[in-house]
Order: sequence, then structure tokens, then C-alpha cells
Amino acid sequence: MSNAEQCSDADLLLAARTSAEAFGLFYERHFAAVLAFFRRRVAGPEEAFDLAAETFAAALASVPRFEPGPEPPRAWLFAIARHKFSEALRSSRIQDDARRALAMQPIELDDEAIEILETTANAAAVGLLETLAPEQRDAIKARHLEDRGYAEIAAELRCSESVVRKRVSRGLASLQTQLRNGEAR
Amino acid sequence: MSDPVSHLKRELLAAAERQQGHTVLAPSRRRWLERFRAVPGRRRRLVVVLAAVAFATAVTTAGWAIVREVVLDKGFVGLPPVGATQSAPESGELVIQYWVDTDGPKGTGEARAWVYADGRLITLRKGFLEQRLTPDGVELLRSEVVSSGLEHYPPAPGPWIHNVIRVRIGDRLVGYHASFPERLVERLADPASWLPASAWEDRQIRAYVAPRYSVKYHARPKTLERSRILSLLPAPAEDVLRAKDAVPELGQLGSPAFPPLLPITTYSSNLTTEEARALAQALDDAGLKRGRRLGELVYSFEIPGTSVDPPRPAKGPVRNEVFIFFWPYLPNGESICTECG
Repeated sequence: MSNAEQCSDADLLLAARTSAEAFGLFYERHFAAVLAFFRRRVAGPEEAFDLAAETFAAALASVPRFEPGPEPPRAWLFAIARHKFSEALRSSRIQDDARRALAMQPIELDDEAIEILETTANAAAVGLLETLAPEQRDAIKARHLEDRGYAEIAAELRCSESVVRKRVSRGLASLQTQLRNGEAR
Repeated sequence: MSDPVSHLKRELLAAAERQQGHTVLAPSRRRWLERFRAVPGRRRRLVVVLAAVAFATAVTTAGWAIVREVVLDKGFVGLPPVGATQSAPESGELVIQYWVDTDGPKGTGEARAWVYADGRLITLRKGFLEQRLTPDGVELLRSEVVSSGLEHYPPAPGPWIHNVIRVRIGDRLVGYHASFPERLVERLADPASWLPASAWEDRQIRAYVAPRYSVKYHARPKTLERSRILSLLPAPAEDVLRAKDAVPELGQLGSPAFPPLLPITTYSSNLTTEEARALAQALDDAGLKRGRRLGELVYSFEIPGTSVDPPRPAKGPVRNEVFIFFWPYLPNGESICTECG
């Protein structure tokens, strides 16, 4: 592991004032989480990718003014992401101001690229699923990944529909909390 | 096409270098500049200027034509994101409503939809979704329903149970309750599979964003008066609900622990989305438990000291809880309980 990889996020952002590579490392650490954040909020992977790109471009533009504070840099990054999302909803389009200001080239996405983005965005959530209690994980997989009805799942698990609903509901609530905490961490 | 994650990283690194005035250039950019080193004097400067102008023009015009609109094409549960555009118009005349089981060899499921004279086709899947039919498309769907021999089926006791179709015939909305023919169920479950392209004004699926919410609250299994429930809420939430009229709705609650059925009073208030959001925020801030159902938001909390011992042989105690539901209004003024039925 190189020294740069051992650096904290704050160190990377300070180093990014004079080193492009430091910002590249910060991007690698957080891109998937930012993409997943948008993917849960917008219609498609293209929109999520555009918003993530705009977020990192805005973060890069703010690097010269970044000062470490009590909040972790990840929270700073997600504050930018939330701002970009609100801005997009207000204007009904994804802004490109930050990318334009940095003269960044647009990136067009084909099917293969979209698949990569979907895998990247889903990786975090699928990983979290494995942290749930087995009965909650199985109920969520059956209901939301396999799209099966509550009655069918209940019959298979030999419990009532209400129990299945509770497992799904509690599991999703737990996932949601973990994802929310992850964004603020 | 390269990996877009790496592609974006390369763009950011190049931008970072430009921003920092770095001397380290990516190989491709170095090669691009080296081409101009061979061009002497004024001609070289002219080429560089023209290239820069061309680059700037490309970036600011054609290149950014791929900027995408934000369209909520997936349903959401609970309240819409801030800034989401409400479905318009606010009200509409219901022409068809159905809730049918689609159990079959492919698995179990259900189809729920509301079709309006203005063309809106609202479906409930994971949240409410909206598409637009033409007037002819609405009539085509209505004809399909009417011509299926509905008059032979028993009338529906209400819209809130499975296997109901309500359809406008003349100026009346007539409801039927039955196990409907497979062909009709298949067509209702997926109108896009058989309606012609000309039947659609806008086939794109968007989230249905309700203009108002019916907020309903009650205590159960032991029912409580409205003033008592409000006094148990966090102050900002109490203020929101106390300022609104509330209509009491009498119902019964079935519970294995309390046979046969308990009377229960639910209070119902009509809130704008902004008021509903303020209420939800107050409940979130107070740390109330938030549940998400198919298309509605619900909060609940236990009322301290009011647990109930059920009659034997049921085991107790049973927690007495307050529930606060947010049901979206549909254009016909109906608010929907997505878990009932």
C-alpha cells in the first residue's frame, strides 16, 4: 500500500490543491457511494452518473477552499451531492455548471457502461444485505429481488404474511439506516 | 466504450491539472500539443487559437446536448422529493378503477390502476406511477372492460378490496366484484401490451406526485380521543394537526387478542404536501418509528403506560400504539390505503 493510500480524506483533499493524483484517490474512495446515493433518488443510471460527475467536479472546484473541520470530508462531499440533487429537482434538469467551468468533456454512455454503473451503484446495497439477520435478508430477497408475493413467501417460510411483512419492513429500515449513516460517515 | 468510472476519473484528473496549472500532462494531451511545436511562428499561434475556439465551441454547444432531465420514473413511498412536479390537473373524473389478482403460472401478483377522463393512467406498483392515454385510448380501455360481460358479476361492496373493477357507464361509476376472466385480467395488468401506440399521449412512466395528503391517526387497540392523541405528539406535529379540521371515521379493528372486533375511531385531516412534509419532519425530529408500505408512509409509537392485557388465552400485554398514516390523494379525491383489502 502506498503512502497516499494510507492518507486520510482530509489529507488527500489538502494534497489535492497541488496534486491531481490525490484528488483521483479521493474520487476512487467515494465514487461508488456517491453514485449509489443518486441512483436511489433518480430514474436511471445516466442521470445518477451525471449528478455524480457534477458533484465531483464541484468538489474539485472547491478543493482550493477546503479546510478540514469537525465534519468528515465525506460529509462535505455528500453535502455537495445533496445540493446538486436539490438543484436538479428545482430546475428539472441536471446542471453542468461545474463540469463546464472545468472544461470537462461530456461522457456518453453505452449499454456496457450503464451495466458497469449499475453494478457499481448496487454493490454497496447488496453488500449491506449480507449484514442483515438471515430471516430479514431472505424475506427481502424473496420480496424485492425475486418480486414474489407475501402470501407465497409466507407459505414457503411457514409463517404468517404479517411476519414476512415485518421482516421485510425491519430489514429495509435497517438497510436505510446503514445507508444514511454511510453517507454521513 | 471504456469504463465510465475510469473515464470520469481521467476527466477529473485532467481538470485538476488545468486547475492547478500543473506541468504534468497526460500523454495524449502532450502528443496533441507536440503536433503544434512543429508549426513555426505566427501560423502556430493562429492554429492554437483556432483549436482553442473550436474546443470551447464544441464543449459549450453540441457536447453538452446530452444533459439529461430529471424525471422521477420510479414510484416513491411516502412524500415526494422536494421540488418534484405535482401531477396536473389536481382533480380528474375517474373512468375506470381496478384492483385484480393476477395469480397464474408466472406467479402471484396484483394490478391496481385508476384511469381518468383527462387520460391519466395511474398504477400502483412500488409507489404510484403515471402515464398518459389519449381520449381514444381511455375509451378503448373502457370498452375492453365494459365488453367483457361485467354485468353478469355481483356488485362490488366498495373499492377497497381485491378483485374489483369500477367503470363509468353513462354518468355512473359501477363496481363489480369477482374473479374476472383471465384475458381481461391480463390486459388490465399490462395495458401497454395491447393498446396501440396511437392510444398513448405519453407512454413514459413517471412517478405520480400527489398534490395533497390525507393524514389519518388513531390509537389502537385501545382507541383514544383526538385531543388525547394530539397531546401525545411532539409539539410541532401537534401544532400542524391541531390547526387542521379533522373528520372522525368509525371503524372496527380485528385482533386475535381482542375478539371479535374492536370499535376504533380514526381522525382524518387534509394536508398540502408542504404541510405533510412539515408534519413528517416534526415526527422524524422526535425520533418516531417510520414505516414504509407500498405507497404510503406511516409513523407509530407506543403510548406509555397504556399496554392492554388481553382476555385469556391470548398472551399479553398488547402494546397500545398511536399510528399516523400519510395517504396520497388521487385526482378523483380518493385517498388510498395501499395495505388495506
